[in-house]
Amino acid sequence: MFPHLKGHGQRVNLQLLQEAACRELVQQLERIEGSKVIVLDETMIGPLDLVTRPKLFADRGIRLLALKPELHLPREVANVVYVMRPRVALMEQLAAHVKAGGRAAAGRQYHILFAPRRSCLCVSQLEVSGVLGSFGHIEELAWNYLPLDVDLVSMEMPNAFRDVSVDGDTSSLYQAAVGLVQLQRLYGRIPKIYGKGEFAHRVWEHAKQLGRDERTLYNGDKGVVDQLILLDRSIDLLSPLATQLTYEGLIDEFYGIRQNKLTLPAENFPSDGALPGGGGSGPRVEESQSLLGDSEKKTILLHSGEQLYAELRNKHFNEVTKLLARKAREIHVQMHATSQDKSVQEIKSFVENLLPQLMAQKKATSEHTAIAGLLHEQVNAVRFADDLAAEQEFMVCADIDKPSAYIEDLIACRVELNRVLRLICMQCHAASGFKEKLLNHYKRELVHVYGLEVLLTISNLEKSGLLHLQTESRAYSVLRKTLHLTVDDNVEIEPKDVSYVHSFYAPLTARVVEHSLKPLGWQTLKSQINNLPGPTFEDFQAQLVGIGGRHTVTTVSEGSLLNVPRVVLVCFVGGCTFAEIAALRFLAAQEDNNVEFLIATTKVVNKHSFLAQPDELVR
Amino acid sequence: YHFQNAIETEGLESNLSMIGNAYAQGRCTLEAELCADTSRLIKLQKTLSTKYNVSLSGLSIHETIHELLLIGELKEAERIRSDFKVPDRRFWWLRILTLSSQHKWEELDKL
Repeated sequence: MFPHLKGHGQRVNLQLLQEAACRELVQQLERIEGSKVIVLDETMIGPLDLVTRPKLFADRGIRLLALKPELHLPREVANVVYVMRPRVALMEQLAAHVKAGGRAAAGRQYHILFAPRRSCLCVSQLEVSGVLGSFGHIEELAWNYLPLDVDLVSMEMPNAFRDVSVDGDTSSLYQAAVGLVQLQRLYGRIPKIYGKGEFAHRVWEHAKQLGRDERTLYNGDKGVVDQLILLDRSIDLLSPLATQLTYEGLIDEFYGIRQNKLTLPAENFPSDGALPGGGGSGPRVEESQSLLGDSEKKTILLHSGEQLYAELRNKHFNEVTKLLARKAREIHVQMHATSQDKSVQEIKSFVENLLPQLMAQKKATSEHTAIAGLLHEQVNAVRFADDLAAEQEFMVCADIDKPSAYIEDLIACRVELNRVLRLICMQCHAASGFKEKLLNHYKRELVHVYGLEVLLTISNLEKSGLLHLQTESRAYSVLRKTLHLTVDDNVEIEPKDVSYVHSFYAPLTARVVEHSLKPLGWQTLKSQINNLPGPTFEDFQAQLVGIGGRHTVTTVSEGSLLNVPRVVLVCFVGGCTFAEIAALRFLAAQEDNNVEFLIATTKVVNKHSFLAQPDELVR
Repeated sequence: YHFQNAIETEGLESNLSMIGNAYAQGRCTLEAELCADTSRLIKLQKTLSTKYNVSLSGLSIHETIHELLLIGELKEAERIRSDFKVPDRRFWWLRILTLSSQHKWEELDKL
């Protein structure tokens, strides 16, 4: 159903995951008899699109509606099914619907499918409002990891990091653990587990607990996934704040990619009608657009199903422009090849076979040229270059113990608060914490300019560990040397090292994964990353509980004998960036690593969305 | 340390001393000091508002100075600057920005 999820020669077939999620929804729906209408919570529209096609609902005569405070339900339907996140605030809307609908249509049934878990708070809220009786089924849709791409699954929980570190709400950790068990159910037992960081450890503890209840998990053979690496976001807070310089990363930072979809003002694109072979994604896009009530925007699907994008997405932006130019030239040449003398036969086969392909290619190229053009404007703006220069200075630890003149100037000019805070946090992380005097200096400056409310945001940042006082071990400056986080001779075009994703800085997480791939890598790594917060742990899941090591040894040799790539599931607890994903894909593409990654994250984040989380409490 | 947040969102002037005390108890001297500063500022803003007939309520120190410079009250602005220990660097930024926004290029030249 989703061609883009089926990779070429990928050993983990994520279509299974998508189908499982879809099947679950259908089963739940079939349990409810009679005509139905589905009402979607706004944050569920995207995830739903990831696993289903509108056709699924059209075939069953189900209409989809977006959840709004005032909702006009068609009179004739007998069942209203709400698909939503368990958020208490939404329950009042439901109650209002039920009350309003009560007069219009008696005998109508209401149902809720909570994704991924029902919450007692929500249910009791309904009880308080006195409408619980109107609800028939209140069930769960166990959608934990949703497939985004051939090698990427996401929980689509944008606030996971904040929930855990600021509010102390650990439900996302539990969710991640449930998701891991679910993945193992689909793809088999994962024999080796490595991890770093406190929350990552908690996820694994949960997952072990849950796995114990399911003996079948252990009795089966080793699954497709050979290894799991659990990484906690809090071990590396610099990478999510740094400006990403890959194509995909930049698109996300400037325009935001939501569930593989990019929305841009339509005016920037030449209006060309539906072309054949354009991925056949037309109706799907329209459907979600009408749900979001957005018609003047152009929505572009971005995933590896599209050849050109798959090629471009992980490249450094400077390389993308060159590639696009070359592509355009190639197409031009091919198109005009026909105008030369050719037999009728040849022309016929050209029109039939090659032309639609070329047209699709042309469309894709023109689309991406437009996007690249937009990005180019933004990248060339002075503020982008200045911000980048400032953050790169922090990365190489230049003058990090003094107040940065650039930051002071930005504060004096009253630029957006988040822009300032991002740089301050980066400086703080690179310096492994501020001296008290410096931190106070920044605080005072911020309060003077932005008012006292800033203290709330700052205290959130402190709680989440983004701002802190200096610790004894200077983790960053040490690791910068031992793990070569910054590289001197950087190559942006046809790179040889993962550091290209930020021009010369390699995300710590990517480096950790890279080192752990080497023989005995994790053992050597253990001592190196010791000064990062949180425990380092490893675990083995043998065939039968208690026997331990021997079995895992045989499985390892099995894998290396057959010379099939190892499959490593890298799980980011608290979100990861497109740059990190690009770095991992880059590692997988290296021949001698002989590895395949499956990336799991709570949400794909970028420098804006990551910092918006701690701030949200204030708004 | 955590629960002051709730009070603070109210943002009321009368609450400021309470918040300040809470911060002081939580051994956050800087935050307490800033709270005291803010309540001082609010008082000052009131007198200035009536004196010059401009609305200053709810503005930060920086914005207050900016506002005063816009109406040409350099003296008052200087006073706030010394009162609240605004760094020179930022003060000059403000002066330059306001003057250039008002196209007073000759005065800018004089600085």
